[in-house]
Amino acid sequence: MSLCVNRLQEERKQWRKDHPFGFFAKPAKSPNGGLDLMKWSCGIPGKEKTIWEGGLFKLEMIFPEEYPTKPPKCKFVPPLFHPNVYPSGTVCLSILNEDEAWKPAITIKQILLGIQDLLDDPNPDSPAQVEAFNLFKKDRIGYEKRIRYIVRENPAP
Amino acid sequence: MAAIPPPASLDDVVSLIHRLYQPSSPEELSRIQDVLQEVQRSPSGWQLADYLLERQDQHVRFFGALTFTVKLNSDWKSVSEDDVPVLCAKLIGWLVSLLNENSPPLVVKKLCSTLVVFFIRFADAWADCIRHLICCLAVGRAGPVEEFAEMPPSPRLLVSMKPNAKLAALWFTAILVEEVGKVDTKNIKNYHYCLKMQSNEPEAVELIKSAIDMPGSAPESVDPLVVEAGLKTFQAWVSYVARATIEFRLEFPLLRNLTQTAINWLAHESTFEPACDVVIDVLSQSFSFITADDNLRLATILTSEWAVERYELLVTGDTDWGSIQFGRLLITFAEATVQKLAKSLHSPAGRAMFEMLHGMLKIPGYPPIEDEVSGTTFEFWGSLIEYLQDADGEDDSDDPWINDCQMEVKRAVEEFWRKIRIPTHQELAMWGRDQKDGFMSYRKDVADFVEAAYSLLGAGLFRQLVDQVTGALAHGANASWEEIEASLFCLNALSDSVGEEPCEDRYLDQLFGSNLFSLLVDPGVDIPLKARITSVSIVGSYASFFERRPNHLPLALNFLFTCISTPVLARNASRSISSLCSSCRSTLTTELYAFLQQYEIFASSPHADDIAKERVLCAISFVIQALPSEEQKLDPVSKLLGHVEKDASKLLALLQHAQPDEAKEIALLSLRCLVAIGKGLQAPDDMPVDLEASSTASYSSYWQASEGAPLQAKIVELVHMLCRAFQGDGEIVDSACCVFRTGFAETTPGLFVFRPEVITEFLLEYRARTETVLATASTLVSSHSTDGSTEISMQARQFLDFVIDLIVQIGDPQNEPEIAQSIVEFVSRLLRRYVDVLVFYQPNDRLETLFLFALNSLVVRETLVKKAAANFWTQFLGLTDESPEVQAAVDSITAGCSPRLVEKLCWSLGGGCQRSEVDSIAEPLRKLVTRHVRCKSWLTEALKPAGFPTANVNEKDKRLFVEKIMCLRGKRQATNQVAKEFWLKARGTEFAYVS
Repeated sequence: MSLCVNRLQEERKQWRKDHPFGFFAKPAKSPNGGLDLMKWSCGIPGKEKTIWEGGLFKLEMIFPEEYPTKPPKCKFVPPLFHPNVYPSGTVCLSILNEDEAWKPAITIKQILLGIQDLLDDPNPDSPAQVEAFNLFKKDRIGYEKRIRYIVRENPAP
Repeated sequence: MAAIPPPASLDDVVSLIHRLYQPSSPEELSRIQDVLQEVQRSPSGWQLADYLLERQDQHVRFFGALTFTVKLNSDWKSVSEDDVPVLCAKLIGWLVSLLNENSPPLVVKKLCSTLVVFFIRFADAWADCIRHLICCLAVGRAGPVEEFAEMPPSPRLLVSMKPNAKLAALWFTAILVEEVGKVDTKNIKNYHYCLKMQSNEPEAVELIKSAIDMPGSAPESVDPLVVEAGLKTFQAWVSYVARATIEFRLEFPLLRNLTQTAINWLAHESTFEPACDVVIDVLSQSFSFITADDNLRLATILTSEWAVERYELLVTGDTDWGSIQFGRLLITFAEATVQKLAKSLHSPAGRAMFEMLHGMLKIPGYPPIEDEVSGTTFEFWGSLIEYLQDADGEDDSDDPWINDCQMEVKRAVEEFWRKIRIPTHQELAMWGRDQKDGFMSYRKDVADFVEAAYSLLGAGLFRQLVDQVTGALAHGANASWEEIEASLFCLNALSDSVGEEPCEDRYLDQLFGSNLFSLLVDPGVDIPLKARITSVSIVGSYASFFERRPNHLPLALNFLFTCISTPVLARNASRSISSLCSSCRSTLTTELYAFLQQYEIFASSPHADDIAKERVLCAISFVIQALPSEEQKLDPVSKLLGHVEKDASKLLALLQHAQPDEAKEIALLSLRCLVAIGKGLQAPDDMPVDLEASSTASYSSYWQASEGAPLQAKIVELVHMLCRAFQGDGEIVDSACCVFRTGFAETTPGLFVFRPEVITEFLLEYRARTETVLATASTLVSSHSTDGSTEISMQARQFLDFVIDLIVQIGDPQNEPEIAQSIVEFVSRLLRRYVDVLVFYQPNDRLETLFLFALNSLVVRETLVKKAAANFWTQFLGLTDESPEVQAAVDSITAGCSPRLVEKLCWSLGGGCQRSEVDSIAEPLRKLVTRHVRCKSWLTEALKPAGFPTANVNEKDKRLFVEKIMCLRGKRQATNQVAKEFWLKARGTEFAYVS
């Protein structure tokens, strides 16, 4: 079995054993009814005591053949209004960048927790979408209002 | 607070140590600690350690051992080679004397860990550390290693060793592997530690064996403390060995001989817990360790009378630590041996194990609040399912055990189903947040388990769940909604798993054709809220079923509409309404007026949820969109707009009563409702495009020139009214622009497809909200750049006037980077269809200002602006197929701008931009290389000044850069690589690590 599949199976097992509250992460269904380990559907809850609290945001994690040498691609579906999320929904985060802070030892749990942290703590140095970035920079009150609306639209169950 | 003077004498040190153990403020304690640490680290630290260990006080002695540790860690290099054995003997000597004086474990353990630190520092000098220590402890004094060469083998020495000495040896041996395990194994220099552990294995095994060996006749005579320490030492070695075998592929063959003995201690009251810990660790970390004999022994013990008693205690709800541990042991064993267990289902032992595993799902109480056990079993059941699925394709796939094991899984589903029943309102009221979260989380785990079980059991499971619902519903008003909810919850979990046109449809027919919906909407039936919530989600989850069987839709939608008036249900219900109306729009047109009526009831409630409002308006608009003609849409859509107008009319009253915030919220909601209707009316993506019709898209549409026109005018009027009422408030204008945007994507005329001049007029009126206005204008231009769309040159010119006015105001793009970005993006949009509007713009000096601005935008700090500008130039330089006059104008502008453009690009690539921007900046350069013959001379010219772009690149670097770039003829990857190398060079070597 390939290193990639092996590792993903182990990740799945670890996740089932122990995962942070409110999150979910599971391999997607493949067309033949089995599981597609290379693509996971995940959910990230907004952190408590932040403007994101109460929201649940869906994210796809797509693993390349070279995983864990290369990081998975993480994409909010639908794309999320956030300074560090590209218009396509792809998350811009150093630990997800092969050239930056990605390390093969980083687990799915750590990635999801990392993205949860990013929600309320955007990185102003790597803007990925104009709208959210400019609002965040110029009109914090308007930005927070917008986030609250998004949270209401995407409530945690 | 007074400062603490450094101690002048040893007695001062001792008194400081005493003060450390007296109650005091954290600040003072930390100051004392600092002072003491200073003394410990001082050259006299070694003597101090000895002196402190001589004292009688245990705290002081502890501190003495600690001082040795501190010195070993900070000053070990000062110990000469000759002094190493002396120091070793000294430390062991102290250990022996502490033991002779029966010092408390605290001090002895500390000294053991000091000895381990000594080993880590001087491992080569003390390779046989365990044997040496055993010998010293056996004779009761320290001595050099050579002295003990002739001593009898350790097992004999250990027989007569005093328990406290044996304990010390065990502690040392356990701490040894724990600490060695923390040494960085990646560093090859540390490999020898692992070899030393390997060579110490026999002694460690003998030591542990002597501690945990069971005397045949009277196990009561052993010292439980020694056994416990022996088990813990074994555990430490197992953990270390599990890692070392993987990381270094080293064998530790002897350790496993102890497993069986460790297992045997399970059944002894006093040693159960440590034994249990060890066995769980061995099972989960290094299962390969366990021999078939061990396995059998474990299985026997776990089904023995002793285990049955333990188990009985557990399943009656005993939450004692020991009971929980026993549960964990059972599960870990079952999981580790799942394959064997599955195949031995019919043996008495196998049967007994399965019964216990089922029993663990029947512990009374809500999980995990009262029942902490059932939640620990998911992993086992998951492994069983996976194993059964894998076994399914193999040769023995028709073996009876497979089928029988499936029945066990089915039983487990039923057991979990009982566990997830929702608590009564009163019970729930007593739970805290954590308890509620815990229960929710448990239910989610059950959902995952049921989903996995379904992949094994298939439609049978589905049918069973549906039968449970319909069976319960047969009791009518007296039905158990807790049971129904649990079944619906499980069915909900399966929605992603059923296929496109599954055989499950007939069970869904049975489910949704039952009296479920009629009971749910019956105000006379008392139904828990949670059951309604789950019912709402299940309708949403099976939306595709309703598409296939639209006959169920009216009842389902009727139920959902009754739910939107209940605040907690509103969001979910409206989401389902929206998805059903979107996918089943054409079959729902006959229900349209019923929906409108339902909406009216809902909207008239003062607490109607705003998001639900938007969603339901959008949902109804989906259905309106499906009506065959525009004429038929007029009446229902007027009714919808009527609701929005009614809401909006309230705000004027609020404004008059000086409640601007409330009024603004209403205005925003009204605009969002308009957007929702506009979105609902959009043609669905999968609609066939009528090519002929789209080419005749003209201004004479039903909504612009016929009966529909007044309605469209009304929308525009409403939007203007709202913007005026709030004097062009930014947020209001943002939302208003969204209303116009809903029509941009349409290829055929529609209510929300407004005339471009209407939109342009609006946008220019509210130009103060610059970024939104420009972004909307950009999209407008794009939507009028596609084939078959109307040309809007006039509007494009009006916007260009506005843009250049802005540029004149701003001056340098760095002054207003966000606006600069909107400007550059807008101008880029013109390049698809309106190049002529751009290049023939007059007066010429204003046009120059614009291009200069686009050049300067390449070198602002903000990355998004830079990228937008790079994109503009790439597109502009790529213009080739324009009409001759336009192309001539483009070329002349290119020739005029290029020298400065090249200079800016070189500055950026020469370290001026961020590394992540290099690829974007290289794009226009690639275009120049391929399109313009003079590119090389521009590049050479731009790079001519000495020290440009930085002093790190010399003439040769620059020449090479130009040549490479030219040679590559615009090849993307290679050009980017060359650009990156140049960037690195120009930035200087300190950035080399990022390449």
